[in-house]
Amino acid sequence: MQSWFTFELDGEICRIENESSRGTLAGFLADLDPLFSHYAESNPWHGGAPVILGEINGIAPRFRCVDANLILLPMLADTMVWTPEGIASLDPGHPAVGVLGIEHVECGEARRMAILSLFFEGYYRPDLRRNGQINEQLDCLVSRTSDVNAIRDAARRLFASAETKRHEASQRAAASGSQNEVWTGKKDIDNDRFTKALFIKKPVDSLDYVDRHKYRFHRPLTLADLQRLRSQYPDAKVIAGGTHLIENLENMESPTLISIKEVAEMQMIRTNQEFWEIGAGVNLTRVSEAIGGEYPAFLKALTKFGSRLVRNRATLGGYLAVASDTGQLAPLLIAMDARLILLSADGERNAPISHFYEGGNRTILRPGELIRCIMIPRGSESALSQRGMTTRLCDTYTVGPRRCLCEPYITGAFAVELREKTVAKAWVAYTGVANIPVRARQTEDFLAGRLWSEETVFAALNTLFQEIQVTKKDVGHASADYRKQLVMTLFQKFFYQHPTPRDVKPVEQGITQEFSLHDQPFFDSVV
Amino acid sequence: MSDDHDNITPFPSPRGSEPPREEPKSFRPEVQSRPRGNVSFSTGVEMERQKPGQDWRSSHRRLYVVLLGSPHASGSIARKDAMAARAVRGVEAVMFAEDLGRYNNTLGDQFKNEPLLADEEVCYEGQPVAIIAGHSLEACYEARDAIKIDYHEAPGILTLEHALAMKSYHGGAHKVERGNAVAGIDESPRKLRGSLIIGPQRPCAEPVPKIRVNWLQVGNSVEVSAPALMPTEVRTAVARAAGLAESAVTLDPGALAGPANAMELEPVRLAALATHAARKTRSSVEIVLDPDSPLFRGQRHATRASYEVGFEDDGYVHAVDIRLALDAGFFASDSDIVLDRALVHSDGTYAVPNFRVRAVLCKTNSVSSSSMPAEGAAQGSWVIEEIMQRVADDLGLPAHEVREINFYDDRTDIRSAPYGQPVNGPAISRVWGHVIKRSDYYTRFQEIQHWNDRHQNCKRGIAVTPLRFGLGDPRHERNRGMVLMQILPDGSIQVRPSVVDLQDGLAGQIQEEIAVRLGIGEDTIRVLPGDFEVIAQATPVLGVDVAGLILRAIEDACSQLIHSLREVALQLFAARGENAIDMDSIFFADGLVGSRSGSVEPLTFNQIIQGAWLKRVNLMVTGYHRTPNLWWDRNTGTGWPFSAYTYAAAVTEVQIDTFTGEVDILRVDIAHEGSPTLNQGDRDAAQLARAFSIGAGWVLTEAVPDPDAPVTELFSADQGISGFTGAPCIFESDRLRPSTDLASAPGDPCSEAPVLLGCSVRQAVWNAMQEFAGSTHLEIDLPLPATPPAVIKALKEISLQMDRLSHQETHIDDGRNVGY
Repeated sequence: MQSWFTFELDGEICRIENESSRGTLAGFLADLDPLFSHYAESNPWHGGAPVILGEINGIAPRFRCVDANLILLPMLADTMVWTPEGIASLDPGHPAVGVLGIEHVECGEARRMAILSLFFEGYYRPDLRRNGQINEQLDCLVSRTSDVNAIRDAARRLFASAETKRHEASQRAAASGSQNEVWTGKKDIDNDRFTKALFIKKPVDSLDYVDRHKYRFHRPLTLADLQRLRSQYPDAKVIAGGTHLIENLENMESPTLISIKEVAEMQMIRTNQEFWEIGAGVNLTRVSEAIGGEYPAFLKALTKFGSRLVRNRATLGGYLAVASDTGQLAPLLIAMDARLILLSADGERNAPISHFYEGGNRTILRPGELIRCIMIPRGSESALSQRGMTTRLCDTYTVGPRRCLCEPYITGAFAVELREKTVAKAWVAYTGVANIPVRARQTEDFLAGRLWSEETVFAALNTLFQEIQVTKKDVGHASADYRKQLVMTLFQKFFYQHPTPRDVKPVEQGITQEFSLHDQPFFDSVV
Repeated sequence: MSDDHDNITPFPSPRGSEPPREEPKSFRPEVQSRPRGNVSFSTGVEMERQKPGQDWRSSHRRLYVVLLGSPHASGSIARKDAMAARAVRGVEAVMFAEDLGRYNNTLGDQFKNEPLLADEEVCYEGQPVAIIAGHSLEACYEARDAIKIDYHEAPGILTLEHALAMKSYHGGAHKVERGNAVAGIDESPRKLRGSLIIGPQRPCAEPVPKIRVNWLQVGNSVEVSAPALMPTEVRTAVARAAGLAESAVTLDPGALAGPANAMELEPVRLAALATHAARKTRSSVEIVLDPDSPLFRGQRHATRASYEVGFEDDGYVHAVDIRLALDAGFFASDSDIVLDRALVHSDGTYAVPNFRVRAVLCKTNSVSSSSMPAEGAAQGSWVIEEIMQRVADDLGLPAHEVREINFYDDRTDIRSAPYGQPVNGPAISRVWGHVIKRSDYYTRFQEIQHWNDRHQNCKRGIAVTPLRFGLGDPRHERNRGMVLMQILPDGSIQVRPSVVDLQDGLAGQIQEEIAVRLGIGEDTIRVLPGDFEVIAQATPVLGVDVAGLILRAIEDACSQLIHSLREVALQLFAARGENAIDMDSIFFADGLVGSRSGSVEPLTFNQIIQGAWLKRVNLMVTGYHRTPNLWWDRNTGTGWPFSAYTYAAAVTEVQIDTFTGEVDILRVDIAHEGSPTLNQGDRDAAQLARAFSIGAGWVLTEAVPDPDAPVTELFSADQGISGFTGAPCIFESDRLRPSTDLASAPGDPCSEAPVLLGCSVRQAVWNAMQEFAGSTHLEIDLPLPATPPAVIKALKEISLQMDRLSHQETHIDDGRNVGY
């Protein structure tokens, strides 16, 4: 046990001693310096307080923008944190500070700083290459005081310059015959003080921290250590990304927190011909980077899941364990036919997602059991043909009072596997109708063996209408009637957007792409 | 309290002189020098003790204040008992209305004598009944639970409809009239009547304002820190509650993030309550509100309009009769002016020869409604836009045609609003023509119809709406601005404008204005808004043309300084032997002071300032501006309430998803009269975008949750505020040179007026629904706000009507609504 740890804050080593293990970074910063006092007033549902966290998990070191309200101090041990104020104070200035130099994009310095953090992360994102992704990068900004289009313009300029730089670096790599690792982010092409420090950073160590209230925070590095700690502290609470738990810390009685965020086995994304195996501690952004190409519906689902700050921290394991009854991902995971591997001292067992929930925030997890990983069948063409399928159509729809950072009214996800034009197997799932994710099995059975056509879908609606009952009471101003209607219309929408085996790609944001310049790259010569 | 001074925005950087921004250097003056090692953190226990509320044993006591709210919307109080509550350990005071002092339980005349604490009756749910002050929040909450109050609950009036049915009003109806509306409607060949309900909108619930009052034993004075749009009203209320002169109150309004996030009335009430607690306990207190307290969730005035209109076959509107009912809450503290604004804007840009609008304030058992940007003006002018749309629907004409032929125009002999102030007809046609041209409206209008033919499940709609918005406040005493400006010995300048710091770019504008007038660089000009230590009266932010007033006051201050400095320059030139210089020929430019007459070697600005100091010339001046010749008589409905009108028009294109009812704003084009002041373009553009988003949110997404629904999640209050992703895909705005009547009284037209343009979003959704209905002219009932459930409901209505029209189709199972 140790009563201190260190982390790097704005380029300086910061030693924490005796601070509460339940304190958030936002609270710590607010006490640290009057300059940071606005962190105390920020709220995760109003954009939060974005700061930059250097992450070296996964394939390449990355800067991730996270909400200082949703991160506990001990989680930061041995990590690297940049506050936007710290970035802005450096000389020479970061390019993100430069483009934000235009006045009036936002009222209030705190909000301008939030934009700076998001710009900073976007600048180093090798996958941020198209205009449509600007919304996704900045979606935590919820306010009446932004000049959104001015911010979009500034973002476009900044991200285009980053893209140009990456393009030139990849051309240089190609010319010199060396392996081109620019687009994977494995190579430091910026070579500025931020990336230099990040690329030489050592992996984090395990941590056993105890604060002055004798509250403990453990961060094991291996599954074996994790199991040992869990048997040692049977009442301990397991924490993954913490985006949900931290908001409910006050009601938590357990004095011990065990983080799975650095357990190597739970940080892995592995794949073979048949399955993706996604560790329970992998954040959603990394999941989408891995499987997004194969499952564009997952990318689409994430655009409405919290905000970039939340997705950078939240994990699939944590999401499932919370068992929220309005969750946006559960129906899609059902439609993707995912299974969970549950681990306890007695060994492993596995369960399909649709059997995982027991209603009312309860799951089949037994005491002492945890989710080790999520298995998702491969959706690639070869994997499909191995199973004798022609196509897999899969899409998800979330309707809520606004586009992001919302409590959705209802989410529906659908998938059909087609042999030629006949449905071999179907998945129809919803959240937001009952206190549990609902799967319409009768409708699925009805669809199986029939032609994928308008008549079939219309006939299936009858079954669907009988089968799905909306028992959850009003969500916001969405009445049960309205949600019942959405149960039907979302399924229709799925058909109309995917009428033939060729229409595999999910249609993003309605048909507004031409206006949002959705697919237009920042930099023209991008392939 | 003094810590907060460090939070004020750093020294504003010069505009247009990037890169290098000045800010980064001044961002963290302390951080670099402050050790971050274990020196500062090994003493964590001590740090903890310094947090507010925990150092109560030290000389400076800090207490928490919580309020006990009424659980009923209406009722009387039979018995109050705080014996048990006062005995709770750690509680310093529990106060009821009778403990406030005989004449002290009020907010003052200005706020209709609204009581601070309910005494014998409660008038809305959450109305404060008791103040509890204690050393910890836990103790306060325990004491609050221990207070016993017996209520006799009475049936309350909770909705606007109920209030209308019960004739529960604040005062009588007010009206504005021209011609004879009743006779006009009777004579018209076509008639129509209808109604429109405009839902309320809420300010952001975040951040919950930190209101602290510090009772200073020494010198018998009070420090108050409260983020408010009208800090001097907070000061007045605090002084009243403290029983002190206003000069004994020190005010720290802090910095706000834009006018849409702060309130005028609510902080006044809370600061007064906190002051009573501070006075009683002689301590420094901080008020902590429950997340569901109505005391900081005031909302806009919900409005119900019913109208009757008489028109001709070509769309010419002959007569309009409007009745407005505004929900003012129980005390209507701030509502008279909203009523007036609704009245004077309800003719919009249309010269209706026979026009009458009558309006009442309804009294409901809810907290006083409050003001947000364009309050009243929006409600008033959206009704007339609705009427024009209905007339067009009735005739089967495109709405833009009906609007256009009814404009104030040189063709008609009506050149002024019904209450008397002249309207600039050509200015309306100008913005209208401009926006139609720049948005290629007619072509797109056609294209959209083709697009809709090809898409069954998504429908697009486009609409153009104009606006006429009065700049200034009909309460003429509010239309004044002042600045305190001083030149320091090194030639740098400090300016203190009489406005709270909104961080919306006004400071930069002030810098520009001064820099141009005095011919110096912007970087040495420091703007300190919100310094009410030296400014006696704040200029309101909502309703008045704040930037216009402040900039005119700056102009006044600068001309005084220039006059003094010219005299100094004359003397300095004379000392060099250059005597034949005309005083008016002395100019200030590029940091130099020279003369246009003759070849005089110019002096630097700093030399002049040095000279002024040596010659003991006063370089500390106040600039003042009040808008002249304003008057408004609400009893007769006549007057000249505004310094000028501003005109604008917007074209909006939307797409609705008929499966879910979601609406996307695809493209917005706005033509707006800009400010005639120097280089205001940037701020204008940003203000315009912000104000438009407030209006668009109001008509589209921001439904106020059902009052009966429990507040389960912290964030559910603001669920409708559109995020970054919900903003229009394309947003184009042109700011035109102001029309003549605006140029004579310059101002800041873009900060509130564009809220009204949210109407174009609503009309575009309307148009998309017409497209959904096809060629049949069906009645469209589109609620405001048009949230996804509301849109679906309206679409369902339309398809039911369509079904009724086409009898041949067999209706599939009810409830399934397959494709409607």
